Amino acid sequence: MVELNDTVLIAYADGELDEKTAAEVEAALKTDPVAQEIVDKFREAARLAGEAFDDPMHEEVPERLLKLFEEPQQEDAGPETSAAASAENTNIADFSQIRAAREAKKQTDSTALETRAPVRRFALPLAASVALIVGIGGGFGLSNFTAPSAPEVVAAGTIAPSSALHAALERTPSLQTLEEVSQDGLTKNQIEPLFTFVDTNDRHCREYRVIGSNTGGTHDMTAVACRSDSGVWTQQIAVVQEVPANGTYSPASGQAYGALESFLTEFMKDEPLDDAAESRLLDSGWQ
Amino acid sequence: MVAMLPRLRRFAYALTGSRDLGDDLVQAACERALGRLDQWQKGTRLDSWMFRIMQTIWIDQMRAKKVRGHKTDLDAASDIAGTDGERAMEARLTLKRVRSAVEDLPEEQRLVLTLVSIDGRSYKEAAEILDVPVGTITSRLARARRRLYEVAYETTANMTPIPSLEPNNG
Repeated sequence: MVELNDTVLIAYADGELDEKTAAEVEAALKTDPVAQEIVDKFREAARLAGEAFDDPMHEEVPERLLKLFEEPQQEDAGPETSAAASAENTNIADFSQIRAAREAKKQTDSTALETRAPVRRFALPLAASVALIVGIGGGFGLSNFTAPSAPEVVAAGTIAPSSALHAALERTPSLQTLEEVSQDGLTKNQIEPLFTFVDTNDRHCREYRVIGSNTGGTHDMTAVACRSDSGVWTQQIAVVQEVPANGTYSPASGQAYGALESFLTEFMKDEPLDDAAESRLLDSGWQ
Repeated sequence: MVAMLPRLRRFAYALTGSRDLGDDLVQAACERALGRLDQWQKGTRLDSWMFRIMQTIWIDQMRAKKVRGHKTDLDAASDIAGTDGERAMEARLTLKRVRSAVEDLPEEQRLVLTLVSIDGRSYKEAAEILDVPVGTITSRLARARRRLYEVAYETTANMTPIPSLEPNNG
């Protein structure tokens, strides 16, 4: 029988015990009201701690912090920053070449694509606020897309298996577009995988673009997601450009896109897969 | 990174005990991270990396004693408006005491509490961020939560501290 003490009880309260130990603790608690009280109070303390510092989760992020991600960093251009900047510059050329090649190919192919209207890839105003989103902050689902004017509402992370984005990543060939329209017809997302590659962890990854629009404006995201062996797509990095329907644009900077390029350079093991290799993956369910 | 700003701000608020110092810390950490994005190790979580940067900057500042007097900010931030009912006011006072309690915790306990009970990280993740064994996380967390509970309810008439199963629990 498990011995009840503070460390066991707090791990139990936090759901950190393995199933077997947790079941033992649960049984022991039935006959030990003091231990049960400790568990309850440990939980209450956690609730209080969470609540006491929760304000930042419900308010706008101050401008001075958002600015860090919008403007090129002028001050403090130490050796680190300039090194990063020059690394970005050397990489951008590579990726623009890859993209240009894909784009050219797409033009050639477009007659072959059955019913898809060609996507206007650069039809959006270029000047808009650009936000760089990297990392993991909860589930990202296209259905959550509601507020184009607030770049920070879009979280990176696991892509919901039920989402259109997941379907597109699993099955849509690169440079073809999957369109998702909400029931009321007001929100629309165009999802276009751009290319597929193998990353340095030997995962399959895809760069893709999502153009979402609703009455509030347009939301243009370029992102990279990678697939685990179990079929979970996780968004790794995203650059989001918000274009309000009516509003003033702040000048965009290439910094966010530069970070995307740097990311790709670091994580791509090889050139993007060619069409044949990509179709084999799509057809075989990524085997 | 933008997407995780609210969480970074919450973490910094709990760590520093102050909204302003917290945002200063977030800013310093973001600047450092953006300058060193190439140092972020592939395959690791970016948010963990950010938290580690924030923690390092904060501890450096504490050691250099550059940071002083943030308790006053706690008081100012939680001025009671007085328009709510008594219960709401009591709840706010409780949360204010919680913030003071967190503020007064030893640094290593505050870090664990912030990561696990405020940011919701698993013990394993917290252990990786702080580079200590999971057992250390658990014991620090238990001490922190005991203390926090007791301070939170210390003025409540019928408050009873968390009982102890061990004769010399401390």
